[in-house]
Amino acid sequence: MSFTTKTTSQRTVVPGSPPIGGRGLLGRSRKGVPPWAVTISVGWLVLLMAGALLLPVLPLPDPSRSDYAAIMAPMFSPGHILGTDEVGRDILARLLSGAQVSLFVGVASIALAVVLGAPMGILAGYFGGWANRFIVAGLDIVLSFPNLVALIALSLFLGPGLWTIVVGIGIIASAPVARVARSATLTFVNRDFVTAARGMGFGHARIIVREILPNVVVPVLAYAIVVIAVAIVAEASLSFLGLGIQPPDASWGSMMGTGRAKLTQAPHIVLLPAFTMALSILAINFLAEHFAKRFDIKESAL
Amino acid sequence: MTVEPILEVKDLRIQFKTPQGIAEVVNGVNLSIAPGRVHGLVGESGSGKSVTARAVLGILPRNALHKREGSVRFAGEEILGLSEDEMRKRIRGRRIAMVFQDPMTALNPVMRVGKQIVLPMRRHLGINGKEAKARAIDLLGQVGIPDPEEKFKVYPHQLSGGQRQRIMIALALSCDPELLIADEPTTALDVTVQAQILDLFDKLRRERNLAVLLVSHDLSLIAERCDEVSVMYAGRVVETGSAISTFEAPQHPYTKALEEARPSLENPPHTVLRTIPGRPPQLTDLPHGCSFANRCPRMTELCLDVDPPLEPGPAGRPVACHHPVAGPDEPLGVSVTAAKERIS
Repeated sequence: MSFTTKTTSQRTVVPGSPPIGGRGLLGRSRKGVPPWAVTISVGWLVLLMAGALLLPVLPLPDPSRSDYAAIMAPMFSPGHILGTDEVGRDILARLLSGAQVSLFVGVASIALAVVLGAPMGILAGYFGGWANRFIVAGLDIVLSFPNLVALIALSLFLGPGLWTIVVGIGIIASAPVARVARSATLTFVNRDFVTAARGMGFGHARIIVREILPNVVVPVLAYAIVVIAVAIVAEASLSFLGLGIQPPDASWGSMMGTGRAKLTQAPHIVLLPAFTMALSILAINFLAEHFAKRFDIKESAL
Repeated sequence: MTVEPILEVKDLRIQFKTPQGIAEVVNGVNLSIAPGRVHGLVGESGSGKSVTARAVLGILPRNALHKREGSVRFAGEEILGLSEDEMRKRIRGRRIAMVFQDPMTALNPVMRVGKQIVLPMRRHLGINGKEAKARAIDLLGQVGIPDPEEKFKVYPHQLSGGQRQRIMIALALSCDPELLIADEPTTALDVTVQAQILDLFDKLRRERNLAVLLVSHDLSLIAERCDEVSVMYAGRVVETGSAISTFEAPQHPYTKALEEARPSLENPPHTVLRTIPGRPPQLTDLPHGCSFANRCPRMTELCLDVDPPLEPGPAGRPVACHHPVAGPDEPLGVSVTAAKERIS
């Protein structure tokens, strides 16, 4: 697990260069993600989000309540459509409850990463010199830390929990986000329209907000989508190790972590969250690649 | 006619920090432009013309050293030493505006063109959005944009190159500047559009008594459109004067060589184009004497030792050469190799 993944794009925008063929997960290069895959990805994520949001009103058992009459019930049992886990909790309810956690962690930590990282990157790229050296050195320190070890240390220090994960991932992921923001800023800072804005008498603050920021937002957000997937995996890893979401709350990672003892008797307890997570990550990566592709085309046409 | 010049540059020097050392990009440039006149700044790439133009506005790139020598007087006021803040508030965009070479990159791709014109007016003229919009639409009409109301709302990529350059010009004129700096304004455009844009400059100059500093490497354009011209070489002005006489009777061997290197329609087909042998000197390591010496067929030992000052030459116009060309019919000289042999 690494936040500097290059699954899709850490592409910088070189003016006038031909669109870069993104290397997709399935090795397709030039054409981007086929429309059906985009549709399925969107469909899956919408379904997951709807399920997560509507969990309280859906006719499902409480995700934390054990049904002692049906422990390790197989899939398609009456009352438990995806079966129950080793202590009789409804797996579908727990998957959706885990989706709440994953989606929240994914979005909240990336929001934090963008809020922290983008300004740093833009300032470093725009001002260069001393500010650039200082910020880049700081980023290198964060990036050189083994991410999972840092997260484990943080959750031991702050105590495991949802907010520890969000803050930890947010801080760690702000470094690559800052890098992307910096490289995007560098491609714009010497463009004529920025010089022209100086020439029209505008100050740094106004140039950063009006000229640089709107241009940097696109690559940063395209990158942030990829990092959402990585953040979800990070949360699952911590919870798998018992350092993330604490029982009885559900998380895909902790479901796999506690269910793995029963892998031979009831494999669905582990496999269902594993599949759910894999599909979600795949869907997010497809969408990220799709957006990055569209952004590239737009960029080359400017 | 002795009109008070609007812009007077004296002995301007600008250095850049490069990996190869300190590059002396501008080495004592003198310029003077009167209101309503067009002054051409011509020279090959790297001769310092764009840097000179940008230095007037104080918008040099980051690696320019802060020590700037010389003087830039604008409307009687020394502006080289003004603070960033003063320059921003009073000069840039307000009294001196600039048009850039490539209208594809000089407009913000993610801002509607109308807004790009409105913002500087609101900043400098302190007028409200409605007035600024009315003025902007009026300006778009003046620079020859059809349906200004419609075009006010589009993004730069929806316009052609010529239209974008017109937008740039409207933007530059928005706050009614007294001096317009045009840095290769037509290089990125095709020839017919080039003529239209230059006609537009002419019209605006006459209507507004605008002084224009026109930077270009295109001799024909400069000869045709400028009142005065300064020829730059390796960061120096080597010859200056009225555009007509400079190109009809060049005094500096460099000007003469440039003139001869121009393709002409009168030449028979397949005439080999004359070129200037050698390359411009490294700006990080300028020669001791005249910087053109090692490409000059008229070079002598004096040229290698002493940098010639800019003084009135045989035709009366200032020239920086020890051996200026006396008249339009005098040949430039045999060859650089012959000159070098003569010395050794």
